[in-house]
Amino acid sequence: MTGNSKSHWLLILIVSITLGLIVSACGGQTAAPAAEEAAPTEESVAEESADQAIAEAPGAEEAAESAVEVEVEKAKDEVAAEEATASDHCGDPSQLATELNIFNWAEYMDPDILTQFEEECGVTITQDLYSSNEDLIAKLLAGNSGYDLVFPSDYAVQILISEGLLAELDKANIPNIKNLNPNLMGMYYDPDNIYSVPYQWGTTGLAYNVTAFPDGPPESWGAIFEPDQVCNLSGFVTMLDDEREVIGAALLYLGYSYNETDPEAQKKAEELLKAQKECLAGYDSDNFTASLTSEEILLAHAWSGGTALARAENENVAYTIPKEGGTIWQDNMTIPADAPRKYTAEVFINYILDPEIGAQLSNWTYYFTPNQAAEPLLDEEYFNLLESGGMLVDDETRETLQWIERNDETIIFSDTWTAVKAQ
Amino acid sequence: MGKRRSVYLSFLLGPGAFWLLMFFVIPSLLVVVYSFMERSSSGGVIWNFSLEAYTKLFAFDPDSLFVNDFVVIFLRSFWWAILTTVACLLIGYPLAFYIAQQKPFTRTVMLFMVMIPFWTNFLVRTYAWKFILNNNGLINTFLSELSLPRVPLINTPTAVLIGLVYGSLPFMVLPLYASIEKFDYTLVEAGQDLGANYFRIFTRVFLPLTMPGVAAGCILVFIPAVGQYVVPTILGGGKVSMLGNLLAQQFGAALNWPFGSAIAVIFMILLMAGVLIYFTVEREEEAI
Repeated sequence: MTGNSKSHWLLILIVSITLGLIVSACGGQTAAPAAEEAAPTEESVAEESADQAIAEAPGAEEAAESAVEVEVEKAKDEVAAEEATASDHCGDPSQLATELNIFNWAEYMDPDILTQFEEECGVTITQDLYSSNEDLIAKLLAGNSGYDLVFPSDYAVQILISEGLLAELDKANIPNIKNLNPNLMGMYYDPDNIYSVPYQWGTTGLAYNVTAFPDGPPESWGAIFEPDQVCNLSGFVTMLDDEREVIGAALLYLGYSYNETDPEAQKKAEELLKAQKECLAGYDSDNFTASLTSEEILLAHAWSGGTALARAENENVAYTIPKEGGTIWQDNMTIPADAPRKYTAEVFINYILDPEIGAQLSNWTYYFTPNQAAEPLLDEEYFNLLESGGMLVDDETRETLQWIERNDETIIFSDTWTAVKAQ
Repeated sequence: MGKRRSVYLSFLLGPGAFWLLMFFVIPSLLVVVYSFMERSSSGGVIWNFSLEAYTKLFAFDPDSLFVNDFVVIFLRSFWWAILTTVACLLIGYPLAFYIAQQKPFTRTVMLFMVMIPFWTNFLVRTYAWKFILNNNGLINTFLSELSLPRVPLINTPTAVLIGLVYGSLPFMVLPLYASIEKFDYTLVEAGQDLGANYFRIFTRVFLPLTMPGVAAGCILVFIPAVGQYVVPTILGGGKVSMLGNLLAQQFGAALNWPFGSAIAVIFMILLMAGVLIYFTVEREEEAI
């Protein structure tokens, strides 16, 4: 070995270490924006709504006075009454646990609300996320999930009740239940609200990027189901990763009901979905907000609030309910039957149903609040964004929306979904 | 003496055997039992004997490429695992050989670099690939800067394969390195003395003697790759299905535990058969 080759090796060593460092740094950097990309969206929105909440809190009466409607006046009184009793946000401290485990959908809870509750009541909240009702049901069925509060949608509440997996709510611990809109209470899945109280509601439709649809919003579900249309945007389109929503939308486009269980109709939906799959980027319920914001995705089967969250960051993102219709759904706060900290969960439910917290929540999620007393406290920006983005539901659209329902026959949706995914 | 010996043995083997019984044998049996039960419409099983899961798994479907879509997933998973293994071998063998030729210090540094990625969570590294392969990712941004057409990478089988090879490569390189490093180079000189050319020395001397490393690497890469879940989920967009996804779906959203169990049972049988065949062949070779 000569000195020459020695320096040669030294060079390789240095180069490779440098390369290694660069590669690992790049890995870190490319991964970091992944987390950050979503974070700023949440944080900036959260900050805004937090600021709003702070700005509004002292002047809540002034804000309400500027409006003239009688309902608003009524709400104002309720807000005032609420402020007087704000100190018992935390219920009976002797019964309150120090921890609370909640299991929620992604981007569905203002982190500030969690922090506020933690600071006010001294309860540490751990939040885990799921992306479909079926995931939640599977988790609770397995038992001992350790969760104190979960947020199933309408039809999932029905399943969980029939499986005996939910605890009856002690209404005495949830006085704020009076704030809820009576029209959104007593729905088919829990007629007397024994197990559930509404959390947020919204719709399912199409999110699109206006640059890809210069002639206006897609009018029909055909835009995402007809191969000759969806394949023009091949690789830039996602569907929700949710058997009831995806198959339901296909059924709707084919002229059936969202809940059709006839095997022939299901077979047709399966074929439609298999043909569509070729041109999809994927099935995504968790990250479509970020993908729409970054224009990685230009057309998506999406939920109204998640789309609005993307619109808050990128004005090109808009939403529409196609002429065939869409889904209306309501997510609920429920307590698993084996929840270790039921009382604390009820106190937290009561906290969420507080008018100001309710407004703060919807200002953040961009979904609709079932909390009547919170409605007058919502930001103007919230309404402007939903209005311009096409997320507000008018009476005409409301007629076309369907609830997802569940019965013994609807198990066929799982089979169709397995077949579509297996292809 | 004999009694003391057996007490001693059971003391040493007991904890391990207990662990295997509780967390391997019993759960595996449970999976087999579940696969013969009736499905409950809300998850779990109904305790009635049923062959429904297996008939579903092997039902003939005229629309499908081969038997039915589930069998296609099996074939696809095995095929991709084979491709992954071959790709890892083709990249890993020269790399391991090259590393083994270096001076001890350089060698350590290079091995170290093979292992550095393990310091970061696999999930994070797979997400990093997502940002490289995205429609607006590193590669496509670069291509469009050069005014070249973009290539769809993310959510394609190519992306999944890249992810699989990337994730498995160290498991190929390390065992290969271990067996190449032990190779006695005087045998190469002996081959040269007997007039063999380099190609012949490689195929007749070097390769057979490093075969244990090749086999170990292949098993370490192949078996995890067949059941991969994370890579096809993240880089395939929930669209490209492998066995792991099908399994997760049956136990999760589809709430069909018997069917999921049946898939797991068939999967176990296939892998066990493969490994048994491998060991039988190897023993015969050793006997020769």
